[in-house]
Amino acid sequence: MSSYILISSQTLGSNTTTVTFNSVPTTLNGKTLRDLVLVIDGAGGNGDFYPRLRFNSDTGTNYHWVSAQGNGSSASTFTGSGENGQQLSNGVFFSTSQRTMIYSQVFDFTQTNKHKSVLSRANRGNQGTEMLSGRWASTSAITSVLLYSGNGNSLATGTVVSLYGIEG
Amino acid sequence: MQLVGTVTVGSGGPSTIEFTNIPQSGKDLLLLVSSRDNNQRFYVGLNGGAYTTFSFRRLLGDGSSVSSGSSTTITVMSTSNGHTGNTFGNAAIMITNYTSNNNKSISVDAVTENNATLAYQMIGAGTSNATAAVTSVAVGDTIFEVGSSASLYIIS
Repeated sequence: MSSYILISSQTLGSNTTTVTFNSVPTTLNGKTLRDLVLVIDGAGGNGDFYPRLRFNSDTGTNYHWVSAQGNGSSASTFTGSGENGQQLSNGVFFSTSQRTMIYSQVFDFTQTNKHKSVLSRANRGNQGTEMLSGRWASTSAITSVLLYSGNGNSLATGTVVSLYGIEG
Repeated sequence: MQLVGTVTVGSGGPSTIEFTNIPQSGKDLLLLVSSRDNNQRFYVGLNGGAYTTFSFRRLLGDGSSVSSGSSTTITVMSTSNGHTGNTFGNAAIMITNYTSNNNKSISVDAVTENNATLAYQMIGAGTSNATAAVTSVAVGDTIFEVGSSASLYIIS
């Protein structure tokens, strides 16, 4: 199995709406990195936090996604395209009432001959579970990752945001 | 990523596979399970506690329809011992920030195998009622068939 290698982890010291990982390495500890995995475990600071990503500060309408989710009583599916940030979930958000965990894998982040695929899993035990497939329509290698709020609300103090590389 | 251990079920399969004394040196836990059993599902437990101390939501497909449900157990679909021989289900179970004193978030991805239309695919979201650091993880409340296995990894 490919190894997870921790690139950086931040435990938020205050409510915040953005977390940035700059200068994402392509090698670490002598290992070449193929994929990125972002793990967010925490809560909303002042209401539901809608997680979005931007790669390389790209604010163009280059992000697309499709998701399926279950809330404990019904199943549903949604899609979006031409957005200016990559949704990581469409129905399972970081709330103030119970911790939420999302992990998102970005495949082949250094490759310059393909759009970047994102596979995201969102989980909150008392609300729902979701899987989301995203695509950043760019062939650029990813050098920075911005986690930001899609609705202006914050992540709560104590939320842990970790970025891993996967050897490959 | 560090392998904590692997358990492979031999004859007279146990009803529980448990990893104890988990080192507190990591951030997340990843449990991979290959299973065939008599209940077509198993539960996940933490720290020797009851299996019913969670809130859990799932999205489940069975080859012909999709549904969602909830429970107080982390319920992971497994290949039934009545399904095609030598087929096993596979599950990836992630527990984040396991050394923290927060309620633990648990993510489940699982599929079962069967040479027929009926086979399950599921994702699940769990949250523990307890906040203690996780020092042991168990899967059980079933009887695992020979060849079932579980491996626990620390991600740090």
